Amino acid sequence: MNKQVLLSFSDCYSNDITVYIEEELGLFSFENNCFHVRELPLYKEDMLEFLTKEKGFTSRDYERYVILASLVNGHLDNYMDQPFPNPIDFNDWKIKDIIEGRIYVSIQLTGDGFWDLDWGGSIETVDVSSYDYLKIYVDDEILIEDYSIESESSMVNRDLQIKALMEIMLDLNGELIFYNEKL
Amino acid sequence: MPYKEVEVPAEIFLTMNDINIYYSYRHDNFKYRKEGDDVYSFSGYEVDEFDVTELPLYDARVELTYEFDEDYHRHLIIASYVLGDLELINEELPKFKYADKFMNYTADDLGKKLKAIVSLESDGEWIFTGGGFLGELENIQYQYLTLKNDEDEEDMLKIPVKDDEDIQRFLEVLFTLKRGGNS
Repeated sequence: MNKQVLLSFSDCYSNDITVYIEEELGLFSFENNCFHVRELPLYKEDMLEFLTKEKGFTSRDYERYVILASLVNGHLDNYMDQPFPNPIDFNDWKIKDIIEGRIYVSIQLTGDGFWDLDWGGSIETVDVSSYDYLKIYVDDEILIEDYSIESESSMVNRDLQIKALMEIMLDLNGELIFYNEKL
Repeated sequence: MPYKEVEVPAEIFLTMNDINIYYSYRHDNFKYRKEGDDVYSFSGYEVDEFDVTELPLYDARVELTYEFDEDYHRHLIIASYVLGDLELINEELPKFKYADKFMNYTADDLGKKLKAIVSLESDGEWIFTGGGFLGELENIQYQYLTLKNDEDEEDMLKIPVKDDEDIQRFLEVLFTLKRGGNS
């Protein structure tokens, strides 16, 4: 039986990293090595509650964010064939690092626009139809790329999805997701 | 051996709506080569080949203004399909439903009776401020152009496009060089 994919992306050396969903609830794996999502240091029951009860995320969304966040923090290195090459340490991160641009998030998207001769033969505005892939740079180096933002829970605004992922990845104690207006 | 009776793995030159136009197949195994580069095919069979210079809209002077002949051929084949000329060469080709409409459209109808919509892929920086949003788009890459009939909101024509200039030139071929228009 083919395992269902939870998430996949490439690291800075273009190596593909894939996490699979195991049958047992809360259990995930890299091909062979299984781990339990609740045992990850970044897993927080209150964040899960907040996102699912107040923001319309599914618990699967949360699991996906926590696992990706744990991966880039090097917390899952023991389960991988090779450790994540250039991990971040969430302890180093404060809101001001975001303001100062230490992290750069780029989105590959699909959209469309009306083409008209009125603008010298071009499109005026682009209507974005989907966010397809995410690329994150930290201190001008690639952290991850080709992360597919397929959102089964399309109920949640796609910008909020990205914000939630960043919040969990940098473990900002809710500062990013609650007090974002400060930025 | 010519490939009259054998289907060959010909490469697709152009897809417009659901119709594929193929390059004429040139492979040493078949000891068969076309002379010149003006020949395309409706299928992987030699019997379905046609020479673009025999299309009523073909204009050698216009072809000379293009950097690459293939770009002109693409525009010419699409315009010929839209204006009903391609059906004359291949009876099995599905008839273009909107040929009558296109015979009457002019460049002035663009943006009014005739809506052109570009579908594209792009990158964009994600900005953390406020709810989080997408900043300016970069590396916009056009995928295809859909021409919609504004009265019925129907998609009439879907064709691959490269950039603004490509669209502009296609429209020139379509609108200003209608049959007899260059005499």
